[in-house]
Amino acid sequence: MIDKKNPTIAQMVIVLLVIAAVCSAGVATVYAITKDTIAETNAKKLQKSLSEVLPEYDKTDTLTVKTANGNAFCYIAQKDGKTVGYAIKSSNTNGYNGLVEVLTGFDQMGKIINTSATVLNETPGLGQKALEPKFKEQFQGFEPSKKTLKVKKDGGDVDAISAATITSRAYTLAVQQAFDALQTLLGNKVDTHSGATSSANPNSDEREINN
Amino acid sequence: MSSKISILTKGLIKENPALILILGMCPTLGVTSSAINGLGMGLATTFVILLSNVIISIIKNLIPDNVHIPAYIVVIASLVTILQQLMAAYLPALNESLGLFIPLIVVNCIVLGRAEAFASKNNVVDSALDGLGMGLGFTLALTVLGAIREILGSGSIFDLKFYEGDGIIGFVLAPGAFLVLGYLVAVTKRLSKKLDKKEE
Repeated sequence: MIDKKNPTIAQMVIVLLVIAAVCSAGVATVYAITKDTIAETNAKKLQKSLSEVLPEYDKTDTLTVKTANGNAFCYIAQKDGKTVGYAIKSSNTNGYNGLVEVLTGFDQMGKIINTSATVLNETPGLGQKALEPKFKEQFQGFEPSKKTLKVKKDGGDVDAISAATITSRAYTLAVQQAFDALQTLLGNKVDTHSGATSSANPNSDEREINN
Repeated sequence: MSSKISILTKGLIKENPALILILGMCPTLGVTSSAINGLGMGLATTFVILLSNVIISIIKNLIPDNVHIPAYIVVIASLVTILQQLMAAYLPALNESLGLFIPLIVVNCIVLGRAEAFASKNNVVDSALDGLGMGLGFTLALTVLGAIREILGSGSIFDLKFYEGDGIIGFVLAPGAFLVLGYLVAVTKRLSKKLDKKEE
């Protein structure tokens, strides 16, 4: 049917066209079938991370905050109509393997409740240990207004994972980015003496840092 | 019948794609820092090699010689994209830990290599057996490599730690990968020679 050694131009074009069309159809079909499951899986993952870093809540409002390092997503957690905490998802590409994304939960006074890595593909046995309690515990109850969010090697108060400084730095930077976004969100700096913030209700969808 | 069986089993030891043919080195070295990653990557690649061999064997007589490479690549890339979506939907945890290496299956030499060397010249059943055998051999190589590196480097196997603390960290890094791979290649060649002798 087709002379494989001496095809006409038309034959070559048609063969490639048909192959491309059938393959595209296949990919599109699988996309349509899996779209909802993927969205559901992502939503579940997010819920799990949010409940890890926030106190009990019954609903969240989401907000995008523009910061110097790109966008941070803020989830304002509320219970019985009152705000009980803020979860901020921030990221940078300073990890050993690129993207590191962390969800940081703060209470009303800007103190960290907990952190949860939402994207972390570092080296198993080294940077991946950022998922383990030994590293994460130090962020629970950490007050960024009183201590410095940098690894000790860089003059801060964070214990890096041994032999995994790059990942530790990236993770810590993400938490710092979250704190910066929180300050933008609340519209003023956290009072470093009394640890209190004024309760500003954000009433626009985006805020900008002017640094 | 025994020829069918030998098509299937040659990929396991005697023509193991990673350890004898030395193909697909990038994922072999890159994702085997733990046994489960090696196993997952191997099975994902097996899925692609099997289907790509079958499809290419079916359409082999319709593709002019001078456009056969782009034709094969489009088929392989579509299969990998489909695999990615299936993994994102039904195996999200594995999808995250294998990360960037899943799309890299497109350029894994084993897939295109078997398409050129076998599927383009053999019938569908034989091509399927070849694909399956090569894929399983690859999976075997990656799982063993991953297990050794995980045991020595992290003190665990399939994420079950058997002692507190760290192992010899070098094994979860690149040098350890090359080292263990080198020994595995040597052992497999030895094994392959012994199997040849037994058949004589």
